[in-house]
Amino acid sequence: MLTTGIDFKTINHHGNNIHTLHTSKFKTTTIQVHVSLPLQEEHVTKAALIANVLKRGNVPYPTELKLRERLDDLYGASFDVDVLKKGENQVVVFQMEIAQDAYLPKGSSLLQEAIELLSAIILQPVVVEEGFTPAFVQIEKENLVKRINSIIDDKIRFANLRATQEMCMGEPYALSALGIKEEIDGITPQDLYRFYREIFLKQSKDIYVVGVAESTRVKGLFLDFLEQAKFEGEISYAAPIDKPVHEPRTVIEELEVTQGKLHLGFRTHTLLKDDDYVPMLVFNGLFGAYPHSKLFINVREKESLAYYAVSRLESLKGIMMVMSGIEFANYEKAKGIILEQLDQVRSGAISDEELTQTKAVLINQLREIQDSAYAMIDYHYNSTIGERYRSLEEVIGEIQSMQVEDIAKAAAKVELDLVYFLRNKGGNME
Amino acid sequence: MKERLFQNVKETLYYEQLDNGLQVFILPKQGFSKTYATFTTRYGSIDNHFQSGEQEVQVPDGIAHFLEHKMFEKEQDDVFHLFSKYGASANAFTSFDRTSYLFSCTDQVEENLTTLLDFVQNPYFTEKTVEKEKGIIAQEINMYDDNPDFRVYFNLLQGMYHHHPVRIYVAGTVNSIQEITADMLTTCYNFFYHPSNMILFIVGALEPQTIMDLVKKNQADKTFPKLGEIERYYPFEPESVHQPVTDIPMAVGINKCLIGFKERNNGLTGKELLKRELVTQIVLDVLLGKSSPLYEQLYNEGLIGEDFGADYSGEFTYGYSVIGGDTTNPDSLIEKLNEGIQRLHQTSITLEQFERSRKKKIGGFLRSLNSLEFFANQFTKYTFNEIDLFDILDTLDEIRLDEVNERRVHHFDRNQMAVSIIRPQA
Repeated sequence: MLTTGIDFKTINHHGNNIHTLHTSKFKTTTIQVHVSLPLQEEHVTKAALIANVLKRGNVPYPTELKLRERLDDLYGASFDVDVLKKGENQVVVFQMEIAQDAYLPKGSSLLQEAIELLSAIILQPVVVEEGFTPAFVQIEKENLVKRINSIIDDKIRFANLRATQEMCMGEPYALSALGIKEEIDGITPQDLYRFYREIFLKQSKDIYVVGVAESTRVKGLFLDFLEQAKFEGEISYAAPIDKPVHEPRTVIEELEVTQGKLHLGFRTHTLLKDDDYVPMLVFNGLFGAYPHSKLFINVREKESLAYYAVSRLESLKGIMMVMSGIEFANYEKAKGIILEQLDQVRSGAISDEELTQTKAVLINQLREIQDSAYAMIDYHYNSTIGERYRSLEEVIGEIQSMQVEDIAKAAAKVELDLVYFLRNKGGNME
Repeated sequence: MKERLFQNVKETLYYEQLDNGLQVFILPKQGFSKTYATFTTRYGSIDNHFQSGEQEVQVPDGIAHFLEHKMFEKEQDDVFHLFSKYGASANAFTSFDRTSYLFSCTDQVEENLTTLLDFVQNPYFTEKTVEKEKGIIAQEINMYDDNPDFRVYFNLLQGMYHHHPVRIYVAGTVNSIQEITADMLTTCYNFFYHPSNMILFIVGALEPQTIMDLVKKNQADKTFPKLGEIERYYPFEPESVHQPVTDIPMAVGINKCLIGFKERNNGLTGKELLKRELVTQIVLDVLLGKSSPLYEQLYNEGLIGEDFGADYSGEFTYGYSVIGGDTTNPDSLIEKLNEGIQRLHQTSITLEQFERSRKKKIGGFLRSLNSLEFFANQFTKYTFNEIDLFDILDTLDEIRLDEVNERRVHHFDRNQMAVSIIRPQA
């Protein structure tokens, strides 16, 4: 039973998008509101802070305790916020998941109440002297600092952050979705509220509903919200910057680490909307995304140089990051093997087995998207930001017919831009 | 093949126990693309002393986990390769009470299911492969040792339990695994991997009769020696807590703090065990859930973060609650938690609090049912304890306020409490 549909219906109203996927296969209905801003130094930190402050209290439910009680009364509706980077956009997400009426005692109907609650959270914050409640802002500023510090504690994520900052210096992509730590302290409740009124509410909004949710009914339930969050002008998303590579740079940093973190940043010069996006996807699968991929087999299995060696594609920006944890002394050797694998793929050294396995695993992953509301929303939203929608059938069909030459061509486009190595203090490089 | 319809969650479960004793459960899910299957034995890290007939066996700690690792190594084939050839991704895990082998795929279910059954039922243990694995598992144990979240949890278990094997790492210790031999693996395999001790659960995009027929034919083509009753032995465990406070330094950025309450009365199974679990979770939610005044207080004082939580685990021979997470000040957190527990003893839980918490559990349960993995894993775990997952909504409905208040006083007893702290090294 291979269904291949991520069939969202999209309605645009007052400038905002409402995407609904009407299905009864889940026991819950998932609602997500995405507010997208271009990644910019002037407001990146405020945007990272805003959703957590909004979570603390709104006019009908002025404390988080009251909000949580209300959610519990809605049969344990789950609610959370998040802030992510998608290409050169910073996306603030509000999400709620409610049980479907069919499984609740007769007479319960949660969708309208959930949407009203979500609207109150986003549009009716508690305001005190032209600013957010100082106590809320203070706690969330501290929490944001903790969240940023925990990335620094996680050496792999830290290395990735640094590699991205170095490679994309001067480009918006260098910014972290969590903002700039040094700026947090100086943000006042008034600053934040001003940002909220003048910038945040005026950004592109995409509303997603997956579950028993017929599109015109959903639009009706969101009408008040849309009226207040009216958006003049066209919805748009920041297009990513691509840089030509002249000479790859190397950056070496020292910290108290026991294992070296080697990150290689490549420019793929290929975006989701490009015709050769799918070949690039298959290339990445073959090169380093899986346990049967070239990086895992050659860096880890054959040479025992690393516990992990993977590649990750960012198709909303046009880069690929290779990450590996190695002993300090193996820096040159590991780097050499990674680059050699790229050469191998460029020259078409791909076995039938590698190709078949990559296709099978990639297709499996794609099909599984349909089994999760969150995965389907993410897939569709990436297509929206990336300005090209491909149905699963289309992508799967293209993968199945891919040949070695297509993958070699994609590999030929990939250029090394930055080598980043995080190592211990005061050591020698072999 | 029996068919059971569960109206309240709109699911139909197919079931048969085969001649060799294997219990097979099939749950078709309309509209899903994935199929997920688990093949699980009721054999985990706590089962290191057992008997069948005349043969009494005591094995080193960590052997169930060791066996799980070795299961993937065969003379000719690479098991992961057999699965990925058909686009499936495979995995396994060992817990205190069970070992599970699983895969998920969106195509060629029959090939992958056959691979699952065959690889688990064709053991291959040699002295050479056993020796090789010791180094790898020792590294794994060291990795857990370095992990502060893992350490703070196990320190708590060791603080609560004097002798019960739940206090030992599932993977064993670097020393205990040195004693493992291929013969021991074979003995444990023969005892516990008999189909009569196992459950096969398959859920997702499938046709029940076709799958059941495939499984029956696969099993009928194999023979298994007759197995008598297995007696499992656990050391006598006093009611009391072994070491009330464990407080150690580690190279971490933030303090970690856990409080545990040790179960006094063990030996429950079935609906009684399920009900106790649900009731305890309701009390924990009223005390420390995100809509509780205590949680709000701790959060606003900056003492706790998003990771703070509380949960209860109850099995046949042990049970415990765990409360805690990262904290800026463990001593202050423990003081506030103690005050909260004292208040809990002094004030009954109201009907409003109870109903709200119960509603929340209904929603949480329904959310879990979107996950095929949850179905397979939780159903299997419960079935080994003679609990039916599909009884949850009815059981929730039957719980009475007085039962919740009784548990509030009985379980959260200062005498049954242990604390585990990890502080950043100076």
